[in-house]
Amino acid sequence: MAEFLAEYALAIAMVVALLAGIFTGYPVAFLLGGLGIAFAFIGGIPIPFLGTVGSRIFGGVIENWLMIAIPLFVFMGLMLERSGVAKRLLLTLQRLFGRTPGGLAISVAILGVVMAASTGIIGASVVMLGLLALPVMMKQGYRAEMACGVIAASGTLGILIPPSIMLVLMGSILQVSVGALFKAALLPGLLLGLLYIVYLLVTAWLKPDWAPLADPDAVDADTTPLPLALLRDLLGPVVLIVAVLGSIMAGIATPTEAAAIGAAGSLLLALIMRSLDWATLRDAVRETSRTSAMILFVVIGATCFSVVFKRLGGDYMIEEMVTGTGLGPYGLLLLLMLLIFVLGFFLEWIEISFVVLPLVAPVVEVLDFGYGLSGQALLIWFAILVAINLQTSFLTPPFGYALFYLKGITEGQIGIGTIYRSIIPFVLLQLTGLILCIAFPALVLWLPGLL
Amino acid sequence: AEGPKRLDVASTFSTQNFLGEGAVHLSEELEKATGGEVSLRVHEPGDLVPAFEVFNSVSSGAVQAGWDWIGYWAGTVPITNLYGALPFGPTPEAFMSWMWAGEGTELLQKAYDPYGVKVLPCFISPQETGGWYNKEINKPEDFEGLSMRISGLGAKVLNKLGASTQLVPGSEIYLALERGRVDATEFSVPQVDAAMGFDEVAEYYYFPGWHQSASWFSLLINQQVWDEYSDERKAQFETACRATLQWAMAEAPPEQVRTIHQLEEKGVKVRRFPDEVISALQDAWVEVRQEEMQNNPDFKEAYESLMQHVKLIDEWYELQALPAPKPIQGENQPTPVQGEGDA
Amino acid sequence: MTDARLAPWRERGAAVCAALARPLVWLGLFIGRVTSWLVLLVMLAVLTTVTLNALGINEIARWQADVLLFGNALTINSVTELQWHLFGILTLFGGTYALHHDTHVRVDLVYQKLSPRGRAIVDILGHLLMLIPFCLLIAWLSQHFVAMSYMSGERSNYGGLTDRYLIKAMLPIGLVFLAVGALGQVFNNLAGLFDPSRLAVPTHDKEPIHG
Ligand code: NA
Ligand code: NA
Repeated sequence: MAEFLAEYALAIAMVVALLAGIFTGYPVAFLLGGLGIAFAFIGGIPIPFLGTVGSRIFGGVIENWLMIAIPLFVFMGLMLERSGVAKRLLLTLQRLFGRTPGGLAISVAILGVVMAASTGIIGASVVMLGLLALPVMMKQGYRAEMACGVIAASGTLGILIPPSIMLVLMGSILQVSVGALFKAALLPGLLLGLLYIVYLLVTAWLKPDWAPLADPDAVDADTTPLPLALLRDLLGPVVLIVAVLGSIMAGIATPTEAAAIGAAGSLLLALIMRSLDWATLRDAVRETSRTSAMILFVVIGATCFSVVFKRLGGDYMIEEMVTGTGLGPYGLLLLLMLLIFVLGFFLEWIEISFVVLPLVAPVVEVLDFGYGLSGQALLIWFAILVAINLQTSFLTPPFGYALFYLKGITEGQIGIGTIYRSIIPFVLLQLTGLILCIAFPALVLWLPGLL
Repeated sequence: AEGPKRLDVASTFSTQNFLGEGAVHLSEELEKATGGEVSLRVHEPGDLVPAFEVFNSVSSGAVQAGWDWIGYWAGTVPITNLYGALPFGPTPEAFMSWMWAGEGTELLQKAYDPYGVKVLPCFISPQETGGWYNKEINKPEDFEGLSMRISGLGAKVLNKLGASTQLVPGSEIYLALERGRVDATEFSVPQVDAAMGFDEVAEYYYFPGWHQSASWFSLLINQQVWDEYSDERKAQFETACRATLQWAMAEAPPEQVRTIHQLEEKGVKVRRFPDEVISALQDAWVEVRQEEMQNNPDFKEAYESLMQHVKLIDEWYELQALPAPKPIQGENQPTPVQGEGDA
Repeated sequence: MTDARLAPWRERGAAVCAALARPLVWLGLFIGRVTSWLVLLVMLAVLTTVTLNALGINEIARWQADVLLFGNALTINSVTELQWHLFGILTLFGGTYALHHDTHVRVDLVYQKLSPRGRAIVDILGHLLMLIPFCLLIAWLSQHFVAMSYMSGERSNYGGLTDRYLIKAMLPIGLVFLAVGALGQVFNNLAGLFDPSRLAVPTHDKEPIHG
């Protein structure tokens, strides 16, 4: 143990410094970058090595085609919010759920599942749901913890429910079929959505003041019969979601390109709703620029931090922690899940996928869980377990990107402490989902026909 | 001073697939050749720098070494198109002969010298395939308006036939093909393509891979780092490099055919481009080649050197050409081996 | 503490720092507002790509002279690459814009309990020890990356845009720009330390924030 600590002293110190720094309240993005540089000096890493950081920023952010979707989805969310369409839809959805306690939160969760099928980008989903729903929920007197939790958790479903960039990447890392991964992820994704809804129902029933029913008069003065109102208010957003999802399904656009179609559609919708003027547009593009930069600079900072962390042996430290045990199949699987869960506190999913998956894939492939699974089926099952786990990592402090995004859009109106507290029940629900998928591999493997 | 004992290598391919495995194999051979004195630490793509930044980072010294497909650097060093993906180029065997017994490696090194990068071409992948199509190609006109994910010189050839060649990031190809955002894609050899799952989203698998008859992969080393090694070490690197090349050439072709048989069993329709189509592609390639040679004297020099060398080899095999042995009466034709590898 | 009780040296210090901060912050806000509009151009570029693909058009125009960035043709791949060129500029300058609006993510468990003075000190130290060294060092080390692109005439391998060095140069430029913005914030916070009454004033004009 002492030897281990001595060998990886700098890598450990880096993590400690990061945790300490984060709590000063200095922006996380800049802290990540600055600590990377500082520890490169402390560790005596040759300065030219830091030249990799510029290349990583260029290749990983600027030239990264997938990232273009972030500002576009942010813009779509902002326009939807400003056009008043989203607000109407949420109100009517709430009418649909009638007098169900927690109906608004359930509407948000359902919206999250639908959005997951269209965006697939965490930052964008969370930001969009946040912009859509948070003001409405707060106005209706929801407990901030309840509102933030359901938004962050539902927003992260996008990384699990296909189409998902993360699954595509895992497919290429693990050398398994991406199509099979998509099918495999569907049931677990829907299961998580269902768990959220059950939790919301139970909580709203036990603690009515956390999720108050809106005063019927305040909710909607609208006297249009519900079916008609639904038709009217659903039309715009459904057309938009159909445009985004449909353009992918019809082969008109890739998911990235669909983001632009969504953005243009939201602009058009605002125009139709007569809520588009110069000032609205100007404010929307300015806010889009700031919000996207906020998301992307965390990635930029992390790129510097992680390359130095690895150079200081951080990845070996992790490898040693895994291989140093002598556990059976389930023991090892649980240990790996625990490790990824803990890593998820600090690292980004891309880093975890690239560092941990290649290390553990050969080990996992030959484990015998007694189901007579092929190596491929085992890897697919494992990949989905990791995916659920990584989805959880978006929600776990201190580095829960979903929490950061949410924090970003609240612009200081809700403290990070509240957001951290809000997420605890949802992390537990995620873990429940994970355990169910470990206990019942059929949840994962039945759809792709691998059992 | 003696160079690094453990060379950090930024790979452009995952070591989990055949293409990246080459670097791992090279490291093993290097350990053997040096008696365990020198080895490679192969980093996954993106681990140190993104795949497309490897050349640049080796040149600057930010990373010591890289493992690449040579054609990636055509935007910077246009001559690499010839090594990475030369339409209607020679077979891997003839190409290898030019690299080691002709001017091939020398000319490539000359092109890299201004960037301070030492190159060791250590791995060749067999002919890639003609690509995955969701549309049958029966005549040259079928390329008109076809959108295909393909890069380099092959793309320019297809443009001449009216195809729209597209830039789709590796991780989005599957979905783009599944949804019809592109009608076709080329990617790699069957072993790698199968792992990408393209058989699930494309109907036809076309041959031959006219756009890329052989493609080279190499170990890039920062020149200053390379110069730190003694002559003996440098020779050991070359030995390991050749051993890796031989391994790749021996290992790859049978494995591809096994994979193709498995794909056929899954319902993929394996097709050959009709002669008329191949002829049209060749005509277009003449046009593209002319433009390329005009714009780029280095390419012209290398192309002519390669073709001269290939002519010698072709002549030899023509003289020595034999028909296949006749079967013994009553014996079945040998059927291709199946099963074994699980790609 | 009121202005009347402020020592003259503090007043002078605050005035000097504020004067130094003003142009730096103004520049960051101005460029950020201009580049914000790029999001609409990114959207248009993507929609153009989608339309061209649907119509099966590869080449939009070809001409003789070599034009900066576009070479001698406009193809579907030029437009595709234009998407991330514009996106890169939007992101890099948006970083400084977000800095002046204080949009960057803070874990404010402790921060929100600090006095305005404490917050100013955290930001000054952070900018001087973390952000500015990061920006300047990475920008400095990017020289080779840009120079190599320029010397080799690096261009698209898909028949897209030429002159790749232009967008690569945006990386060091954007980082230096962010460092300059951070320096502006340092002066601004220093002015606040000299004269606490200045701490309450945000650096940006009030732009409406969403509810
Ligand atoms: Na998704
Ligand atoms: Na986390």
